[in-house]
Amino acid sequence: MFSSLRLLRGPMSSEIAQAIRTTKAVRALLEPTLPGVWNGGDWIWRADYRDEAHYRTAESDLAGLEWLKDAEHVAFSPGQSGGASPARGVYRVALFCAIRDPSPERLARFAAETRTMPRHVRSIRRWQLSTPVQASGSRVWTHVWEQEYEDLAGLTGPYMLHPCHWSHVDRWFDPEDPDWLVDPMLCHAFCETRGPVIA
Amino acid sequence: MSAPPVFVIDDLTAKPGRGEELLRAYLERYAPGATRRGMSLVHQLVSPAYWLPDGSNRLLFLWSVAGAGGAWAMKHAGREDPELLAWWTEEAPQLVASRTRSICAEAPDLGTLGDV
Repeated sequence: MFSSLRLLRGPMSSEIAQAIRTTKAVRALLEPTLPGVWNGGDWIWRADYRDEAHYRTAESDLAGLEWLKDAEHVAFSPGQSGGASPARGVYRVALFCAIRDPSPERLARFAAETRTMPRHVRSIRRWQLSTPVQASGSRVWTHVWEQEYEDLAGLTGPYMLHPCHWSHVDRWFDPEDPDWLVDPMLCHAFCETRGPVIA
Repeated sequence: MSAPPVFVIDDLTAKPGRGEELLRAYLERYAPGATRRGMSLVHQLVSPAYWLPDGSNRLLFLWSVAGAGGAWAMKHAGREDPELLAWWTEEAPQLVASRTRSICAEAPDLGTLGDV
């Protein structure tokens, strides 16, 4: 499996929607973002391909679409994941760019701590933390942090309010903390789902 | 019922002989902005309890904020502030040998804070 995710800006034309839907993805999500995203665009397009070769073929078919060039984009093999997707609910993705002293040791600690969050935040039903092999947009993204919830309250409530977030993992994002790692410019996007998103 | 308070501890070890200067700089350059971001200074502690002319004093600043919401408000306001970044990355390192920041709560409040 190989995944591509874009956060797209602007109105969706029927031409674009058709082009996106005709790529040979084994699974795809194309949904408008919900109010409250931050640098999250207007649409989330996430596609799973059989492998990286199928992804690259799909990309070459889309190469002429100007509209895609303004997107935040990551392409990645699935990273560590856990949980089970709800039948429907809310999908959230965050794109991070580790900029400050991103040594292998610090990146490993950051990833390990991020992966512990679903153990504490009970509203996270499914999650995945991946490392892009291709990234573009406002930053060269280094991490793709995805979650699925049964509803938006799971994201805005427990995920934001549990101490594992604001008193522990967030220090990697905090320029006031000596452990600061991640560029404050990040993407935070979410949308409604009508089926499982993370394979 | 109000949210349990959350505490922020800046634990700074001054460069040798610079403890008093660090205290002054922290209170003049850092503390006013922190107060504007919703932080209340509860304690400013110095160890040992006299200024070391050649050694490194340890300075602990204990701040309180109003619950998880106050912690996020403090963080988000700080991330928009280039002066704050300049304080921690340019000014403070001239006086600080090492430092940690901890975000804490009273032990009896952990159950309430985690029940979200």
